[in-house]
Amino acid sequence: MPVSLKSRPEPPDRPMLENAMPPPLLSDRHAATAARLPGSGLAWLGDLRGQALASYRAEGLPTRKLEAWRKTPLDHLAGLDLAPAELTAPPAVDTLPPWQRELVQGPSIVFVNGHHHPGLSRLSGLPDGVLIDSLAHLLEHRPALIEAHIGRLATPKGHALAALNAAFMGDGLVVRLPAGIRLDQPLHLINIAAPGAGAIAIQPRHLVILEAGAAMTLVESHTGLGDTAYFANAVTEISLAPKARLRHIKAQLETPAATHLASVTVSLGEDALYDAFTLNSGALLARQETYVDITGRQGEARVNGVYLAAAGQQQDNVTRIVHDTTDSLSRQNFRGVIDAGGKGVFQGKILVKRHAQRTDGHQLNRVLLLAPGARIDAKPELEIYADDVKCSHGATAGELDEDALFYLCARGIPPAAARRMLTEAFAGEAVNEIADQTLRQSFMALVRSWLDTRFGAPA
Amino acid sequence: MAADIETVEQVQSVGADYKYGFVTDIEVELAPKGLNEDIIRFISAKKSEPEWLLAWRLKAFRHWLTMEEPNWAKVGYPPIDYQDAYYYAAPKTTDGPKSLDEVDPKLLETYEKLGIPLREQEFLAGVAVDAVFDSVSVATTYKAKLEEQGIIFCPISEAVANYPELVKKYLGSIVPYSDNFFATLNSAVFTDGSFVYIPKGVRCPMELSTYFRINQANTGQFERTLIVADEGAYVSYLEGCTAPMRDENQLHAAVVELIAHDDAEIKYSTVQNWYPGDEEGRGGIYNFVTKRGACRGRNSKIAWTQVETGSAITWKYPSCILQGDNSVGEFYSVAITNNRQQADTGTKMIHIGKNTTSRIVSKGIAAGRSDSTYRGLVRMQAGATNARNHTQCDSLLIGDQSGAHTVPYIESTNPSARVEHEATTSRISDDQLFYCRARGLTSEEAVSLIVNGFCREVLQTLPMEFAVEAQKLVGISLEGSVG
Amino acid sequence: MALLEISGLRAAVDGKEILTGLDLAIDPGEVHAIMGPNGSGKSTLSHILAGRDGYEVLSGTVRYDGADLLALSADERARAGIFLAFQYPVELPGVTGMNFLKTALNVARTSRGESEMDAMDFLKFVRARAAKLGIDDDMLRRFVNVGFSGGEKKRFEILQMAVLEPRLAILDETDSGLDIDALKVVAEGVNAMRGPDRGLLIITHYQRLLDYIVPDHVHVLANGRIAASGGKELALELEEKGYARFLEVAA
Repeated sequence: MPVSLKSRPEPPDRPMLENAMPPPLLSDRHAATAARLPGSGLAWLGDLRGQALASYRAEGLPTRKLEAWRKTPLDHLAGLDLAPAELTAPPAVDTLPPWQRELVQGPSIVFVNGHHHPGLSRLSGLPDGVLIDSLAHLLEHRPALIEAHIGRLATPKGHALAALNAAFMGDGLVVRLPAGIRLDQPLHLINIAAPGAGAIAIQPRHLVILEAGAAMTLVESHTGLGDTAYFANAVTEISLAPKARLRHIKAQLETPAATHLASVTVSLGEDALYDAFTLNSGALLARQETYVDITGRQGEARVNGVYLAAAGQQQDNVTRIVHDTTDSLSRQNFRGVIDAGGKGVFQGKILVKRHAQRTDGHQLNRVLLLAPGARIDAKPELEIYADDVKCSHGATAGELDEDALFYLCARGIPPAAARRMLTEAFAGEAVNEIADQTLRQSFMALVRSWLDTRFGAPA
Repeated sequence: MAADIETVEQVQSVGADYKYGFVTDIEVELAPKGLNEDIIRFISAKKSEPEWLLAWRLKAFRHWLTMEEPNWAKVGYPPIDYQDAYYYAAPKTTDGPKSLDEVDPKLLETYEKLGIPLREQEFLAGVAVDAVFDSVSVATTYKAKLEEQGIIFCPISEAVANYPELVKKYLGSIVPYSDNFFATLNSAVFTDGSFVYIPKGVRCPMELSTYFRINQANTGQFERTLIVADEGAYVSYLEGCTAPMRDENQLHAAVVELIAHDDAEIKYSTVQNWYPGDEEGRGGIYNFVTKRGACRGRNSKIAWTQVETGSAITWKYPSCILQGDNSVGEFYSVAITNNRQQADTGTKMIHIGKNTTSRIVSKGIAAGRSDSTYRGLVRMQAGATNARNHTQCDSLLIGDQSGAHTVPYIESTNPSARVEHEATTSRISDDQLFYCRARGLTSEEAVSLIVNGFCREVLQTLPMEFAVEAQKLVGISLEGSVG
Repeated sequence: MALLEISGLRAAVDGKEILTGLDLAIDPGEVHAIMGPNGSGKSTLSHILAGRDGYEVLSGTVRYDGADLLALSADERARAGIFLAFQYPVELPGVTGMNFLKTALNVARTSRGESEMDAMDFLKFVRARAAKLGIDDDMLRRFVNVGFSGGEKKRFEILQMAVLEPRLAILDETDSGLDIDALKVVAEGVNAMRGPDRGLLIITHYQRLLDYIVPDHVHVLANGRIAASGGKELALELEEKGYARFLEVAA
């Protein structure tokens, strides 16, 4: 049939459009907060926040009508009387949880409710020229540096949560490594949520800029205190110049009252490496979004993770690796362990652009369902426009292999212990992607302590 | 190796262009252009339908008016004007032919040109054919012989008249009138298609085949096929499609429903070769098709095989609802796109019963400036204890202007169910091409040979007669794709 | 008292009777070989003794050390001293060989009321046994059976036996897929385990393995029962004349 303007008859009794929606979450709090945000006197920043707010107001909080949020309801947030985490409140924390204190040997920078806590941070002995500071501090003292980088990679358009973050952004970690500088010890970015009586929104904005040939390991840990609900919406922008190498390891162990949304956007220069690992085991709902744009030849992205969901929890992982140049490589290895009443979501994508010849991309998402009532929704995706590529993905879901269980039992290991051992090995295959041995062991210990709660201590 | 040589010869023997692009000059009766309740009443009256069917059509139409055209598939096309088309076109001479002798000789000639000589098929090939020309079925062969065994194979319009209880029981039971935009449109305006019923314990002794032909300009084709295999029955059904070359796009929105009861098996094979449009993407069929089978009974099985080489746009997801314990669903697909074609196709396997198994093998080949997408869903519901799925999706890119995409959805809520999905994307390597050319093959022959090898696993599942045609098509579809 | 005593064992898989009345007794210190053609029930027997699910015992008894073996779960049998060397050892991605051996040894020790072996002692203990089988530290650090060759898998099975020191070891087609050198290494490993308190049951299709592990008794399994028993010379006779006459007799 000929193609011309669409002229379908109107349905006879189409309902009236619903009344205008209420303003989306937190947007009505902006006016009262804006004047007190760090850098509120900076015109460019005011514009940035204003545009982001408008964009967020237009789009609203993501709903399940959006393909990317089809399996991830945020309805529960509407029921919270969220307030932006207070700027002026005295630090609510004076000691760190032991696991967090011991996770990394090296310098650390602490954020409580998204605001820098200098008293708990340890940043001495860094090489000359290395900048590790808080966004709030730099907005006051070196706004030009921030202006050059902030909002360049995580743009608000089409990404309502990044827009919401941008509307309120005022603090976070800023790291800049000059060319050729390598940090020997990992930098530990410690995040603690300490909501008081009322629910709070914590929206840090982190910037990591590695100049040519610079290298470091950034370890992020997330935890919370008390049982008041909180909403963390972190946005991280990472810019890696040619030959820069960033290893980015994260442990998310928020409280069961938390909603933890985090997006990381990475721009990868020639021969640069972004090597990420995320352990998600905390929060009521956690969602890790990792967007890597490989724009430099021979860039390499490794995005790996383990997600552990107990009853009532949902753990999401969203990845999008864009191969935008020739001869680049990406690897993804995710393992999910889901218990009864828990839910996992994996949406991974490899996008190879037309000119990105000789791309080598692989993605794997494997999930163990430990008991009836566990649920996984996975969507591993390949979108490929170049022909000389080697791209593949794999995805599995199921329970432990019966043959393997029997093999262990035939060696005298009781069934419960055998299950635990195989589950640990299963998750361990992704933890093994962590290059640093000490960190690998620390993260394996975190996985084990989760398994202890599920299976009891090992045999 | 013999088969490969055969492939090469077949490809050589066929011309480079779409050979089914001719138009048959025949008098037709058309309903007025446009779509409204009067047109639907007209179609229903033309077919002397009972009141319940008209009511069902109208219910579908009213629902359709409230629906939005889906836009989630990875296909792009300008808006379709649903009012600027004929929804009924029938060859004037056919008023229900009693035998082939009463069929207009021009139509018989058309089918001969298409390689479907109805007379010979009847006498020689041992394949029962139902030929659907634009909106109506023009001939069904072998009917008498099938009736001896209680097998019903006839145009669905005839089934409505002769077996109203069967049709009423099953029509819309798998694809309800409200299912999706295109299926709902089909429910409102469907004109013809085939009806198959295999009684208890009967193994259909021959392949059943329907040949669909769009001839008339400005028409859409909306056929509806319903196949029921009763307990322990078996049937293999084949479907082929062609259309004339025209500069405008024509809409094909079919619905196929399959029902397999206990221990029954249905094998449904399609070679879809609708006119794909020209090299610049002018013309071609918009193929928006809903195909779904329900394995209602224990130990039942439904296998879909499709070779999709035609159409400007393919939007098609033949699916299985695995309801009965131990039931089996299979989907084997080759989708080849060239020039400006776009295909978004795949399957859904919904595991409901215990010990249900499904297997998906998808081979996508994209050449020219085309896009080929596999989109599929495997769902393990809570009751699908010990269910199994294995999915293999391979994509092959030819040239650097095409795109190949894989979008699987995996949902599981049963720990004992196991889902395994693997996908790869690659191209024909220069080494492979050179090796073939060093043995004397032209580039096109080499591509045809290599692609046929790539698709072998799927082509092998086709009945013999179709496998040969499909192999040829693979070669033809890719002509001009290598320099 | 016999170490293992099987009486009138009938067993089915998916409703099909595979073992049709099998009798066998193994005393401590004895090495028995069961030979039989494909489909005679050899693997069914080894799996039933090890406690694999999916086999239905229709009648008969299996007594181990005087107690009802069939009442025990697979892991309880293993801790009670039964060891099955698998025909097809399973891959355990993510589980290192060392961790696996240590876990298995320590559950056995704990169940016997012994203390767990400390890490250094364990390392010495395993290395000494591994060296004899040509297994180096690198192989012990790899994941169990992942990427192992056929020979490596079988050697690793024998190492497990050496570490766990079972009272009754069942070798299921241990010679399959081995070349002659690997076969010798494995056989030496097995022979080193022979002793007055330990019983060995070797299940095999070919007598080749029995050239290296010389049995005290040889049984022919045909159609699910013992069709003949004799000394080691019976194996040679089978090699020469085949199984045909036993199949005829039984049929």
